[in-house]
Amino acid sequence: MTQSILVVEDDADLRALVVMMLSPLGLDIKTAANGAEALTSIRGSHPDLVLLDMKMPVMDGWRFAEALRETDAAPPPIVVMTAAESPAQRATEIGADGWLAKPFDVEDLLRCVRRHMPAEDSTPRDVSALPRGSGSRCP
Amino acid sequence: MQPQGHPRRRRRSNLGSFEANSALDAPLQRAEERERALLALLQADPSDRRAAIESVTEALAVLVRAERTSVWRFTPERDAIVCENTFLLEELRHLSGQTIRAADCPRYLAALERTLVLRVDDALNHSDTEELHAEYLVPLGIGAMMDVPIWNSGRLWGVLCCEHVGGPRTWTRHDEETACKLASHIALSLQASERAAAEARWQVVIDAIPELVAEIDADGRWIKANAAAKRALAEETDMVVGGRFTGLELKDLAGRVLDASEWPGERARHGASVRSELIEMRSLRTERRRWFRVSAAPVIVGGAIASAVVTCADVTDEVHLEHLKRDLLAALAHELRTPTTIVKGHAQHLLRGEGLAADVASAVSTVERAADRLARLTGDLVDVSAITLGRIILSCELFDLGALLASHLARASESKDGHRFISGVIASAPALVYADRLRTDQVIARLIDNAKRFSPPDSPIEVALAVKPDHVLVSVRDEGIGIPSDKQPHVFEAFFRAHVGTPYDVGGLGIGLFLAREVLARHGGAIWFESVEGRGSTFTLRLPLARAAP
Repeated sequence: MTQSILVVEDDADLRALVVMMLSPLGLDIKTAANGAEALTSIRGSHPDLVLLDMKMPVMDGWRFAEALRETDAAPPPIVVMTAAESPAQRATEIGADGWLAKPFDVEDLLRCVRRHMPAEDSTPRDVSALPRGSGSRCP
Repeated sequence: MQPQGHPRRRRRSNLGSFEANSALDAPLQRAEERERALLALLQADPSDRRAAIESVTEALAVLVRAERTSVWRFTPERDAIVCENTFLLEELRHLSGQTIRAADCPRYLAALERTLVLRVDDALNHSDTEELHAEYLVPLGIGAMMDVPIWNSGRLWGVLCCEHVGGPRTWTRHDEETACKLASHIALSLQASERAAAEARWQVVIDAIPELVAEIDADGRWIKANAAAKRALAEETDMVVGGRFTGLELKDLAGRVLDASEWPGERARHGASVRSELIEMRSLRTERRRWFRVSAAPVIVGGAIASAVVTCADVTDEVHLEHLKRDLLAALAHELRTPTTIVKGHAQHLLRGEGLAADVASAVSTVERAADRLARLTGDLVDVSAITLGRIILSCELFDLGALLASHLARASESKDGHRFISGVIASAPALVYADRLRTDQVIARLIDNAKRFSPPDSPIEVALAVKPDHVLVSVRDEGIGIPSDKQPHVFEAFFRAHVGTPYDVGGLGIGLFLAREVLARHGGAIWFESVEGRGSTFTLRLPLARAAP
C-alpha cells in the first residue's frame, strides 16, 4: 500500500515546491494550508507522516499538534518545518519527532522524510510510551 | 584689636552640672569634675563644630575658673588668628569675630607657633604678650592668660585660650591639663566636622549621578544610597535604610530568576566583582519591570570585606529597543527564509533534472548560490541578535571534531578557486566534543572562508587539528594579506570589518568572527589569532574535549 504524507504549510509556493520535491519518493501526498485543514484531512485519511509548518493563520502548528494528540489515539509522527531561531526548541515544544530548518535542501527534505516515515508494516504507535520532544535534526 | 564680637544666644550649656560643684576645691574632686565634663562633651555630636567649641569654652571657664575662655584659629595664610568663640563666664554669653594680626602682634603670634603651651601668669609684664597691652589686655582688664595648642592633621590649627580678669594669676598644672584635654576635644571635633563636610560634599556628588548607587554592609543590609537609588527603592519597594533588600525579583538576560545569593550585591559582598551585567528587576509591589546594567564591587577595609557597592544604570529603553531590533530581525529572517527555501528548492529541482542547456544550468546554479548566501545572511543576523540578548540556544551533541574538519577539507579541496589546502589533522583518537554541531561547523566554515577570501588564489591554506589532554585545537593558517595591527584589537567586535574601504574589501557584514567568539565562549572554548600584515593570519579555536558521553 502506498505510504502517505500530509504537508501542512500556509505558503502556497512552498507547499507546491515540497510536493514537487517529494515526488520522487512515490508517496501519496496530501496538503493543507493550516492546522484546521490538516485536522480535517487527517480525519478523512490518516497519513503516515506529517510535515508541519509552525506559524500559520487560522490554526498554527502548536494548536494543531495539541488538537491532534487530544483527538487521535495513534497520531502520525510529526516533522516540524520551521524558520525559527531554534528549530530544535520548536520540535521539543510540540513533542515532534524531527525538525527541518528553513531554508532546506532537496536532499535534506528527502533524507528527513525517509528517516521518519514509519516502516510499511509497522503498527500504529502508542504515543503515551514515547518521550515528548525527542525531535531530532534532519538529515 | 578691641573685640568686635557680638553677643550670641547660648544654645546649650553644661554649666548647670559644673556650677553645682563649684565649691569643690580638693584636687581629686576637681579631677573628677573635669572627667565628668569631658564625658558630657563626648556625648555630643562632634561633627557640630560650633556647638562643640561653645561647649568647650563654657566647660573650660568653669573648670579653671577663668572669666574669659576662647578658641582662636590661624588664617590659611597664618598671618592672623581669628576668634571662633569667646565665652564670658560672668555674662554667660558668647562672642566671636575678633582678629589679632601678625602685623600688629608678631611676637605674640610667633610665640603661639613656637611654644607648646603659652602660660603667662602676669600678662602685662611678659614679653610675649606685651604687644596686646593697649588694644586687648588693658581694655578688657586681663591680667593673666594661657594658650594651649589645638592640633589638626599634624598642624597647629589654633589655640584654646583662658584669660583671667584682674591682676596676675598663677596657672596651675590642673589648669593646663584641663585646657589641653579640652583642646584635644576640639581637635576631635575638627576632624569629625571635616569628615562630615567631606561626606556631605561626596553625597552631593553621588546624588548628582543619575545611576542608582547603594552600599550594602557585610550583613547584607542597605546602609547608604544616592538620591536616585533612594527614590527608586522608595517608589518600588518597602525597603528602608538599614534593612535588607526585599520586594524585588531579579532575572538575567535568559529570563532566569536569580537566587538571592546570585544578586550582584551579594556576590560582591563575598568578594566577586560584577561588571556591567544586564539584569531585569521586577518590583513585587508595583509589578513594574525595569532593565538595569549592574556593576558591583567589594569594599575592602584592612584586608577584609567591609561592604559592597552596587551601581545600576537604567537601560530599560535601550533593552526595549534591542528587543524591538531582535524581533524585527527575527521576523525579517523568518519571512526571508520561506522565499529563500522556494528559490533554492526550485533551483535545485531544476538542476536535478536533465536536458538543461549549459547557460541555463549556469544561471540556475548562480540563483542557488545566491539563495545560500541569503540564507546564511539571515541566519547570521538572527544569531547576532540572539547573542546580544543572551538568548542563543545551543543544541549540543557528541561528535568527532576531526571528522567534521575532514569533511570541510574534502569540500574545500574540491573547490576550484585555486587554493592549495594542506591538512594538518593529526589525531590518533577521535576528537570528541560535546557541542552544537551546526554552529561549530559554521565557525570552521567561516574561518576557512575568511582564509580563502583574504589570500591569493594560488596560496596555501593549512587546516590543522591537535588533540590535547582536555581540549582540542583547530587552526586555520593562510598566507594572505593579514590584518593591520591597529585593526587587530577590534577583529572580534560585531559589525567590524578590518579591510573596509581598502582594495581588499570583499564585503560582508563583519559578524562572522564575532559570532565565532560568542559561540565558542558559550561552549567553554575560545578563539584567538596571530596576524602579520602582508604575510597572513592564523586563527585558532579551542573546544573542551568531551569527558564522557553526557
